[in-house]
Amino acid sequence: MSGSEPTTQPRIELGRPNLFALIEDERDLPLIPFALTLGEVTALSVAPPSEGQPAVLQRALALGALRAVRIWDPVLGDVDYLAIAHVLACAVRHLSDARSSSPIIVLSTDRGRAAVGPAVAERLQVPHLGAVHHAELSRDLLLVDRQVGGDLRRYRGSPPVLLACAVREVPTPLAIDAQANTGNIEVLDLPALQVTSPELQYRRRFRPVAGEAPKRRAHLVSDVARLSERLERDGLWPLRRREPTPASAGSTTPDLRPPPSGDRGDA
Amino acid sequence: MANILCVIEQEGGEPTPCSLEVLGQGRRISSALGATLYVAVTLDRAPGYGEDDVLAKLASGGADKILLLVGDSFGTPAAESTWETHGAGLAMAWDCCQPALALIPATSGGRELAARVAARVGAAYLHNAFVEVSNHALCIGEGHGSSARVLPSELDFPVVATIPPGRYAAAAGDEEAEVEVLQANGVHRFVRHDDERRPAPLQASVALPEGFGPLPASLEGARRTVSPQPGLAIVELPTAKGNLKIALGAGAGEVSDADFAAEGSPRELIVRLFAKPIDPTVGAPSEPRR
Repeated sequence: MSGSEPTTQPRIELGRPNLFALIEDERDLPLIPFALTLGEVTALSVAPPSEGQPAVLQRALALGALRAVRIWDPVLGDVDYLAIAHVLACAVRHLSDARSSSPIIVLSTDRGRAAVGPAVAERLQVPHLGAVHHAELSRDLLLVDRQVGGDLRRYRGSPPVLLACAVREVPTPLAIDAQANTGNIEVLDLPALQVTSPELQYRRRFRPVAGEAPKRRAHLVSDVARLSERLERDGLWPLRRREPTPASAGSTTPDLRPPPSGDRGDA
Repeated sequence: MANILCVIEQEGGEPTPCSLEVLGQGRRISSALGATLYVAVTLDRAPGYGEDDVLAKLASGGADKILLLVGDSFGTPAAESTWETHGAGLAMAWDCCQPALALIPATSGGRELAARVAARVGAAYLHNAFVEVSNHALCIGEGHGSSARVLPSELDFPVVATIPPGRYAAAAGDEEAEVEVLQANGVHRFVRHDDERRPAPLQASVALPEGFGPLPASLEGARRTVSPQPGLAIVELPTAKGNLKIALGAGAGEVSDADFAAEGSPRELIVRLFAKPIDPTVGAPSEPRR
């Protein structure tokens, strides 16, 4: 696949992209400086007015976001990731209408469950890439560095796209001064997005609720060297840089049989 | 429950350890609830005569039916899976078996696919989930202890759950499974630009006992804090998707939110875990064991 051209997107000179950053809380604010390397960004948040979100969106503005838009309806308080993603996707479409010829780039943070970003991509029917560390526009292409195992690999393609970004450093708390953008936070409700509450209400039962988890213990291993080998085989940790080797090295394959289930807290 | 689907990742031509654990738990749940266990595995070409080792491993790991997804885009390593390369295949597998529950390894590649396929089919989504059977009822949720969140035991909607490494044991089946071959092609709107590899920034954190001293070279860039418990070191590895927590030292096995634990001297364990001499043969494709 490496070296081939993207096949389904025409190669066009990219205009100024419609750039959106999905902000849930302060941990998502690093998306703003990340987005500013690509263009002007609109911060989008689904949140009630009374839970500190205005402050987060004010910080997004202070960090350089051109617009900050809060979306809310009481039904959004207890629905699952997909209902939230549906509303955000509708908001992206709604806010993109004015410059519909510009490509859409949506940024989310790749942390925790990281479900909303890919779900927004699905609703928008655009590609998504996760574990993104860097992105840049180069004439007609978007170049994206994403983490693969212990390496960064570069991808290219044309927007629209959703990038789930592995940005973890929260910017130093900002004092919002007179120089910063302290423009109004715009508010959108569901009717503005042509979404009705009943469309979303059924997703309430898809959301897990507080309950009791089975007692769990860590997987106790007796040989940490073998643990390092299995983590690498799972693609979870780059303990070693693998060199190409002949296929005749089977005798070194670690014994990965797990310990008896009694050690592991299984049901 | 009618069907359960397990998604299998491969490395070096073999199912990854986490995939076999996911398959094992899928087997136990299927047996307890009377479901059929489907397995979706991708290959860049259909196996020829004598090349069906991966299928044999999945059958002996508990699969009832194997959906063998064949396509050019599946030649990439599991960690490089994207929705672009694997999404169409996974969607095809879903449409083929219409599972009530899909279990996917919570690895870099697995997590890249899981939330998207859940959104595509309108399923509930659980991350780092526990999926067990208790009193003939499915117990499924995420989190642990007082922070756990669960779904109702009587599900009337599909669920996609990612399962973290080390949570469950692999299982053994009867070594017989039906195989169905499906042709699936990726969509290449975003492709690899070149073959260059650059090291990703290390963002690990380690909580160490007082006076621990220098760290092995591979952890030198990690953020250090003081361990909350004497004699115990806790390493959090930022994988491409989320953190993996490893407890090392005295009482490590009692750290309830750790994924893996090893008991002994924290210094010795850390050195053995992170400073092991490079063995270029580890992880290379192996000879069939049979």
